Amino acid sequence: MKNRLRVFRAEHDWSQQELGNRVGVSRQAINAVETGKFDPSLPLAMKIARAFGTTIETIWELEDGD
Amino acid sequence: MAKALTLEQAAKVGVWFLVSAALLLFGPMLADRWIFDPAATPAVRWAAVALSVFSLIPWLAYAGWGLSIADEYNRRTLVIGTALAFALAILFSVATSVMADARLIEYPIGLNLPIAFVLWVIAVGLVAGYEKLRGIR
Repeated sequence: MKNRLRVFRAEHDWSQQELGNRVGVSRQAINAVETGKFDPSLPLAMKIARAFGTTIETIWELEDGD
Repeated sequence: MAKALTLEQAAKVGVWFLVSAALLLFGPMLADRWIFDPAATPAVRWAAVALSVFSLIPWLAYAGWGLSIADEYNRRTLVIGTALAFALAILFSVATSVMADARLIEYPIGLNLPIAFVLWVIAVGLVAGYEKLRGIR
């Protein structure tokens, strides 16, 4: 899955640690999601989307082969 | 970690860690002394078996608690690391068994607690390292 997490984070001027604190996970987890090596669970994806005041679809999108 | 601990909770966890690690180390040692004592009665030997087994429980509970508070990414790392440790333990057992059959060593090396624990730490470390390297772009 492709994601625009880094863009959203930059827009809000949040560090990975800050986003992690807001959604209740570690900085490593946010980094893993952001770099695409870990797909978050649906509840975590929804929490992240809610933290940015948007929907999951605006942050993540399926790639060919997903 | 998904949940932040207060200082008091962190202190309790620290004490729990130390007590469980001490039990893990000294429980089986004391049990061995009772088991191999020629004068030990069956009741003492049964007590030694119970001590040996129950001294593992606080550590297992500690590990379970660690898993329960980890976030989903770190939990995945721990679970994959544990699975890898299981595979490594099988390979280790088969390798030493075949080495003994091939008369390269005298007896198969049993997977005792310290070796198993080190194997688990190595396996989790390998998975965490792999995940870290995979993230570098």
